[in-house]
Amino acid sequence: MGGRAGGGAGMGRGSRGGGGAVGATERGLSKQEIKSLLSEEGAIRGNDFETAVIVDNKGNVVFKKKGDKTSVTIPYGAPLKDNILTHNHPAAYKDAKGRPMANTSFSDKDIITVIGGNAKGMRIISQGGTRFSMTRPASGWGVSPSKIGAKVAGAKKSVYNALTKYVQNYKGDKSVAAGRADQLYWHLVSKKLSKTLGYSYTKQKIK
Amino acid sequence: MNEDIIKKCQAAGVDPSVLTNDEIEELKREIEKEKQGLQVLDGVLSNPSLLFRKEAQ
Repeated sequence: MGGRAGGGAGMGRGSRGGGGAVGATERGLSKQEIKSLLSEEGAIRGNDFETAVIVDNKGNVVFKKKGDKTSVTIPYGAPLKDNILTHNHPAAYKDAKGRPMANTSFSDKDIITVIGGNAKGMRIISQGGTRFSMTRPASGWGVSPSKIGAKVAGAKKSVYNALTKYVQNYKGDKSVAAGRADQLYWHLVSKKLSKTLGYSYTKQKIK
Repeated sequence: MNEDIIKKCQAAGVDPSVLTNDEIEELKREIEKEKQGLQVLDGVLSNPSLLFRKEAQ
């Protein structure tokens, strides 16, 4: 995965916040940001609807909105610039085996919104207990807002082609392979895109 | 299926024919929200299983 964001983490690895242990996904954040983000994420993690929260660099919540089971909306002009957007992913989608997808990473719309708005970073707390983080490098996101859509589309196509090949070549029940592809898809897209653009992408399992 | 839905599916790389009626209705609601000036995070077409639904059969 990509490099680390600059700045010192305010809390040591393994210390506790309101939304679980502090770890890789909190690197580079201030104490105030960590306290606020983990508190907000702890409050929304178990919900069966999405909630978006934007936190500024002092830890103030500057925007909060509830959505529904598979989406949440934010207005164009929401205070994304230089702030951190976090939201929860309920286990709303089901994979090809009918299992809830409880640990899905950033979707294309998530990524386009946060880079397009020049946010400092974005996070997800999933219902299954995985936290995801993407962080803007000191040099910026590495792509202009007008070109991020094409970059994301390229990463999606590459991952889709690889996973489709995997499913098609799978010997046995295709729904088993498709289920794995479903569960992995967004994580692999983020992994690929973070390498291409040079931003930090991390995930960690919390209790 | 209306033109907006087909365009959205094409942009997301999703075959519109795999959508259930519930997913189509949900997508219509999302398109309306976008027309009202809102950015939709996630949503129906962010469901990865839509991409591999045909391969799974």
